Amino acid sequence: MTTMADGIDYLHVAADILCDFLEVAVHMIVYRHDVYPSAIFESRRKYGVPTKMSVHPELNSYLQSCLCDTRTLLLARDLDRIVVAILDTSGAPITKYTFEVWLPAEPSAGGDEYLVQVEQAFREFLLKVGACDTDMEALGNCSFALQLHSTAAGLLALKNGALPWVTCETAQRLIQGDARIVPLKSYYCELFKMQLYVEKR
Amino acid sequence: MSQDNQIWLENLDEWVNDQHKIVTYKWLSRRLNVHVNQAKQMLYTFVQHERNTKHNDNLEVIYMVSGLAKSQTGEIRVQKVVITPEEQLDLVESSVDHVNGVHMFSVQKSKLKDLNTLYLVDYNEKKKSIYESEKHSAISCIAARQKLDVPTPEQPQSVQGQAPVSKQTEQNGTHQARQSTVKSSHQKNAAKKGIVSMFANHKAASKDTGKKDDIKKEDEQEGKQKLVQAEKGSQKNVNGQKKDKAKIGNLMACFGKQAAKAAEKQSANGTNEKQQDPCIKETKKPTEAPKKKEEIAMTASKVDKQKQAKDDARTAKREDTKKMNTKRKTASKKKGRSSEDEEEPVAKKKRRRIRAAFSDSSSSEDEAMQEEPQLDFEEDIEEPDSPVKLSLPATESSDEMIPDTPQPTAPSGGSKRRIHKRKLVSKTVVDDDGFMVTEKVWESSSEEEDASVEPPEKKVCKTKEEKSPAKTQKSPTKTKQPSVMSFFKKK
Repeated sequence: MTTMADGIDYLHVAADILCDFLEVAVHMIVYRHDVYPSAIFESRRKYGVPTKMSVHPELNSYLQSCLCDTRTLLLARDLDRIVVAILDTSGAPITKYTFEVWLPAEPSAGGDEYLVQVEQAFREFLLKVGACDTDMEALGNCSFALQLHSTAAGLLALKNGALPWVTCETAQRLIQGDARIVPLKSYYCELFKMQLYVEKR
Repeated sequence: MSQDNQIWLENLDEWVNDQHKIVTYKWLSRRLNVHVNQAKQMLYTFVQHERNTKHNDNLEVIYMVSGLAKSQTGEIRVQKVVITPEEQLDLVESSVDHVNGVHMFSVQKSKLKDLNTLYLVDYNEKKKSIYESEKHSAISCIAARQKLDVPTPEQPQSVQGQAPVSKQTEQNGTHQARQSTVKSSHQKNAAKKGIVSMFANHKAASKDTGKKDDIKKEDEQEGKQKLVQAEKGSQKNVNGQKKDKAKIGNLMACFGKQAAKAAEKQSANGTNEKQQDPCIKETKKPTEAPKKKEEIAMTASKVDKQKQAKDDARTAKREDTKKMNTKRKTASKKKGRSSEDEEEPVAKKKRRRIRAAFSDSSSSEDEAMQEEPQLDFEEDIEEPDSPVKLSLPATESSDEMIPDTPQPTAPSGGSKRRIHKRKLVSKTVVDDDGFMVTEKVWESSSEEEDASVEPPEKKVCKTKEEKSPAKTQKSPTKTKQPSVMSFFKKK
């Protein structure tokens, strides 16, 4: 299936800009939930707005490896969603940021060659992430996990990935107790569809 | 006021509590189209309302504290502006030597980890209305002007570049907001006024046109009345004439008035006192009645008479030009005069006589006024048909056409002719078997009919002599409709 239009492979464009955004979003989520000390984060400008990015090399390499495999799945159209789960001390998810991604069969710029509207949408996503009403007081000492929801073919493709991926257990997938879903933002364009919602206790 | 409060309080409640939005004062001012200071007051009112009446303590409030603080060296006092959460408000205030102001910056339900998010909130809203970024701001630069000739992509850069240079002048927010609302209301009123004024003008015009007849009647009545108004000054007379012209503004009314006056002049011929315009009568003051002013009034009335005479001449000329076109040939027919065309230079003098004769011949001014539109109407009707061109050959060759005319007149005496017609007739015939059979058969029948019932083709062949009475018959029927049209045309 061809995705070329005007000499540009819009499937790769979509995968690249999505991974770029996901990296920023994950950094923000991790910073927001105080998973790591604030000292490892510094302010950087992304999409025209200030964001917090980690300067810790191991964390950055880990995130880059995860997002590299995410890109592979995106190109293979085997990725359903990416979940950034904030885990408590027992490893059970407390809050889950879910990015549902869908790439069209023939992605195109759709009149937004300079990705201005896409950039604005990413800003709004970041705003929603930053302003999300989550009970951060109860988190305390927590950790985070990246979960990729893919097809079986995608799982096979990840065997040769940058990271040794393991199948997620049910206890890590589901939030225990009364969880509620808060939809934050959705965006649709010719390149991709994405929606963000938060599951929290 | 309470209803307005209710509305924006409900809006704020929805944005903050239901949609979990971060509501900054900038965002609110842009969204509600109010001044930033008013937006701050709204936020404060909302927070107080939530905390006092609803006992909702989950709101997070961020304040902006500005004040003078000592620098690190301790020698210079520095203006400090700090955005701080509510928990650290006391700490920040204590760190400042002199607090200039504490404003509510934003209200949200979630606790903000990073205050840069506030910039994110305003960023998108600012991008949406980039050219109106300083619309509701308390800081504005009067010298800053948006360049009209600069292409649109460069405009935001210029605006951003001018921002730091801009002179900071705090203005009363409510005042500006009121100004904006007043301006908008003025614009609306102006628009309304424009439309209303259009209709008002139209109404006035229609009233004017509608009142034409009334004015004419009044003029005529007043022309008939012989009023002695010696109290009037010369200036007032002149003004009265101007007013008259402005009021009436119609040649017809002027003509009617002048005609009436001319008739009266001729009839009275100096026995009567000076006549004056009807509007002078309106503007006369009963208190002024000294005999000294009579002389002035006499001179003024003389001037008026001279002017009226001039007007008479002008109107007579105009009318003569109109009538000469239409009535020249008819008059030449009727009177058989051939000397008029030859004596054209003399005709200019005679025109006045003709005018006078016309006014005299008419028993009253009403008739003259009624005749006027008829004349115009005749012109209107006859012009498209080019009556002059048609009538000329008719008059010239009327003697030649006379032999043709008896033909239509002669058959009117009762001559008959045969007409063959073919009709479809149903016939019933008894068959060989004894059955009744009805059949439709074409039959030709000849009938004798009067020649008066003629096809329209023959009417065309009629002579001009027959047409002329037809015209006179048609004219009363046609006079009504075009008179209405002419009424609308004069608008």
